[in-house]
Amino acid sequence: MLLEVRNVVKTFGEKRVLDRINLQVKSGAALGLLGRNGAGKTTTIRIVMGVFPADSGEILLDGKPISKSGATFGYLPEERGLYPKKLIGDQLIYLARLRGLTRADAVAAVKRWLARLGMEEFYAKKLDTLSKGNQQKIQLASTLLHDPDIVILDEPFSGLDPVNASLLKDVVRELVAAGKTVIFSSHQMGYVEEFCDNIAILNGGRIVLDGNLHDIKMSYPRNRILVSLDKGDMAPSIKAALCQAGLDTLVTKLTPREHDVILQLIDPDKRGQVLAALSGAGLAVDRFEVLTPTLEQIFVEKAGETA
Amino acid sequence: MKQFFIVFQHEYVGFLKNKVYAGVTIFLVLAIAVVLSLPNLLSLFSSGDSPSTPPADVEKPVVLVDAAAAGDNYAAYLSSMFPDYTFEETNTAGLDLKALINDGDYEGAVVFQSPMQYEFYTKRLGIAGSSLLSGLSEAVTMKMRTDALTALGVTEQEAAQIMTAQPQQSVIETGKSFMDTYFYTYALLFILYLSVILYGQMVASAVAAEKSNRAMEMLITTASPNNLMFGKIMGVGLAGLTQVAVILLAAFGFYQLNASAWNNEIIQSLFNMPVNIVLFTLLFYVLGFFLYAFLFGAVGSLVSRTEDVNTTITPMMLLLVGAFLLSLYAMLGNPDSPVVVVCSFIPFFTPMLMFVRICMTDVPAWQIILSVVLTVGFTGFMGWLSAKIYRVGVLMYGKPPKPGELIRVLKDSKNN
Repeated sequence: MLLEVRNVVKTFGEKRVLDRINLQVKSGAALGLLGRNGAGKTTTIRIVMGVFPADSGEILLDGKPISKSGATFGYLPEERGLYPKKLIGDQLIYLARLRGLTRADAVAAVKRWLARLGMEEFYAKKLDTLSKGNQQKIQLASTLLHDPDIVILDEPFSGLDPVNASLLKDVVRELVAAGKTVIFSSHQMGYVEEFCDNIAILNGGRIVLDGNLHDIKMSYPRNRILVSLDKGDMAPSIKAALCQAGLDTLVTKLTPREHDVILQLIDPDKRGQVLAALSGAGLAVDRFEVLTPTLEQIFVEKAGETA
Repeated sequence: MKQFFIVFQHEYVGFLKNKVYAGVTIFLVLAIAVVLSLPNLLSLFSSGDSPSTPPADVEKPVVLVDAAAAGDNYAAYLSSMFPDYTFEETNTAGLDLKALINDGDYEGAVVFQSPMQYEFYTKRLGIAGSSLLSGLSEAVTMKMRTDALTALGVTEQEAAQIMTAQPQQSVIETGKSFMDTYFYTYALLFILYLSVILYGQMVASAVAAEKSNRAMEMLITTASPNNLMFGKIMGVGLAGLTQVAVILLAAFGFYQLNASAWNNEIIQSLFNMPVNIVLFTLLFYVLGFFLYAFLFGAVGSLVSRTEDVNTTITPMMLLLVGAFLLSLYAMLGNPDSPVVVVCSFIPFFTPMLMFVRICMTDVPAWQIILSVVLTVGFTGFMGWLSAKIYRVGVLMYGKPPKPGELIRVLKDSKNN
């Protein structure tokens, strides 16, 4: 299944909120939709889900308009909210039925998901008696009850402790593995890197960067090498080893840090020679890797520009 | 459509399960049961020790009479007129009447200066005293006139006949009787007014609550806004109707059980209302509720916090209060006045005002039909408009928009 957003434009009053947005999400590979606050993420999501229409542009599923596809959505909004005074079982069944499940199926699905998330004992409790993290899990259950084709998770990890976060990670991995189309929006770049093969960065209503995360990283210069040794005064030892091998001209900059050293090379393809020189000098190399920018660095670079 | 029914059912069942709703209903039914069973309950408590006349051995209060200046046997005459008192003929000259009465030896005293002039002594002119006083005035007048007639040669019996003669009057009202219709009209109008306000407000706060607790974020991506809004309004409306119906049925039921014990005209006129009035109550409840509920729903969708609901619904409340006051004016003043007739065709006023007119006067059928058609049409329009506002409103956060802004936003979303 291929979900495509094509040339979507949306204005609210005078303000152009989305300016020719293009996105592609394949099933079985999550898309990380990133952007600063107010960049247009929620508007994009709402248009994809048909909450309101775009001024122009199309949302297609396998080439056909999504509204005619009958595809189902599961949406975990960033602004959480259910009925605080109602019983958890009741409101989950209500939401499941609104999405087309029969009562019996709804009850079964609610029980299954509560069990999956370790929340069975809360079936007959009121929502506002739960901790924030547990409410979050209820919200997640409400998103996935009806086994949706397209899952949109907006900041799903906020408020979860590490144990619950790892439970949620398993759930997300299962969704991806089950061939769901997953859109994942978060400011926590670590999670995005963990789940998303593809990313799209929105800034001021435009896509400023999109594509395969690995390819994007590979497209950055690969001339910075991180070296760490098991002991000793790293920077002088490395300098000495390079001089000895006659390679000091290859390194334009050597930046010592607390636990490692960053070498900037003239030519990234020559890194093999550098490694050989270090081992040749008898240094015990712990780590020797090409430094690629983290997603966070890429995000700050791309999204920080004009916003 | 299926979604609509799920929302509708959820809202309706939610109400029935709500403890406050159930509690209020049960309380009202119990209150009605107690009030309407009151005559039977009272006779239950007093049964056994009461033939309704007081026992003879209870001492009657004694009133002194000094009627030397007025005529013979005055005390006996007064005793026959006031069976609850004993009158004692005495010469009061030299007696300290004040002290005697204040000490409680006597209930009071009547001292005649002439047949038509007397002083009435009593410790305090309470209710018993004043009824004695007004009775005295009648009795003395009657005695004087009877004496005068007998002096002219008329026999005492003839004199009594002349004195007590009364015309037999009967009133034939050609329109609907005010007394017959007033009380049930008032009761039904009040129920109509209260339930529209109460349930309309509930619609507004329920919508606002879904927004403020952000359940709307889930709902709006799950169900269509039309289903959400109409389902909710119908659900609340039916819950309200259920409550009103339960209360009315309880009232009729308990009245029937106790009907024989009631001989109060007001209560009787309340429960002898014509069947078609009950049907009109239903019709106008439905019309009034939906017309206002759509407005309340739309306004609720514009508010982000439940605290803001009250200020935002003020205009509608004023409209409702206006309609109610106009209806009261129609009831107490002239239900046929041109102002009332004209206003009864304005949809916002029709549910209450036309209802009052139907109850209290004879409204031509075409007027009823026209007003209902107008109101239904206008309610349909309000439903359409409210759905549009709701659709936009539920996604707006922050301060409720001003009317101008709202119109602009609605225009913007025309292609929705």
